[in-house]
Amino acid sequence: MNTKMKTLSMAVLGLVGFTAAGAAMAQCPASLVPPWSATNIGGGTSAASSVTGGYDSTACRLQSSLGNSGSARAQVRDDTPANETRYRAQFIFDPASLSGAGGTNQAYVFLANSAAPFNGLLQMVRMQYGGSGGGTKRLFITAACNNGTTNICTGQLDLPTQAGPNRIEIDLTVGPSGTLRYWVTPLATATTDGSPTGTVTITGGNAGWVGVDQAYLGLGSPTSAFRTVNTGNNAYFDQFDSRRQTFIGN
Amino acid sequence: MKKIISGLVAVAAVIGAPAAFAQTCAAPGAPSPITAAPINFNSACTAADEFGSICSGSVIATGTSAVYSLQVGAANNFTITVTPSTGTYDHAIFLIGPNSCAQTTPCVADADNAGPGAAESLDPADNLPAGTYYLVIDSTAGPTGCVPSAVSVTANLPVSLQDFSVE
Repeated sequence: MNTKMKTLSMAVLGLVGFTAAGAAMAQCPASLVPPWSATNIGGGTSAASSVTGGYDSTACRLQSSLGNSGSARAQVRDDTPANETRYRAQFIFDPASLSGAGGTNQAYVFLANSAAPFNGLLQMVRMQYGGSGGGTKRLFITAACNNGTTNICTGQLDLPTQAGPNRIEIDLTVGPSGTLRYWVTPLATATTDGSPTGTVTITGGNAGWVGVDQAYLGLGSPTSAFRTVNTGNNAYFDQFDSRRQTFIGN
Repeated sequence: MKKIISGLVAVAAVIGAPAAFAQTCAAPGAPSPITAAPINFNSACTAADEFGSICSGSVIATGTSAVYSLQVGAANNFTITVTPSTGTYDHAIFLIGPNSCAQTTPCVADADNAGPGAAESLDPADNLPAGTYYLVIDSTAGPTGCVPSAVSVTANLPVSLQDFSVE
């Protein structure tokens, strides 16, 4: 049975509009909690808020920017997962205002964490925005894996839309033969469950991490190179949706 | 007249003192538990990498971690400064708690903006809930090693009059 675990669309909150002085205006919520479980904001002038300009006909989106600190974060947190051994999540990520300069220019955009560390690691899936060294904007995808050495298995790809919104989806299976599939497409591109953009091979499985228990969305943990070119620059996120079984798609 | 610093619970450090140089959550480094300020001590950095991430798992922590505990009382207002002994190591410092020391523990305050070799200083909000907090000296930049550091806990606290007598 497929179970829809939850939908947390930043846009949902923004659907309530009002008319003032004859002009229709979108009103985005002053607080991100609820629908999110909490915000996680710290490090210099880091900030996260709901602002107008949502994607795909929605009104509002999450705006995230980082201050000049290696521990900077401007994230929202979802505590509803409960040791999920199958975890699908989708969100929209717009890096238009971020620079892609520098090969070590990286910051988190999404985390799916376990309830407790295994092999010293808590982050079961880590997605990082990054530069290629030649200015191309990339997504680095890291999965916890029991490979006997680094305990991480990685993948990367160039974002298909460099100056606008991308739709990102993952499907994580936890177990001795764990899998991670991902879809990274332009906003309007149709996707199907059977045709992911790619996979990350989870060598040695990921059973030791038990399951996804918490998720973060938004910029965080910037490298020094990211801070050099992107301190104060906004990234945008929208339409977060997470489920146990059912493909989210578009 | 006898005064105590009200922000730090006066507990004899010798009671239940952990192993001197373990510098882990289970056995914070000497002079843990820190019960009074101001205090200055050296962090020898002999610990392992206990934190792969920190701040409830939201921030990377790549370097070797050294952990110290602080007993914080009801009224408190303090700062912590950590200065590395070499000019190349870019450390980050985190105050996590209360009463928990793990990758999943929230960060109360943190600092990682000074750059390699420079002192990092964190200044938590005044009057944190009383309890045990943990100073974690780590790094978000370097995957290996840490270096000995000078640690200073400076209190700017109202003092409580515990007893007064005229003889």
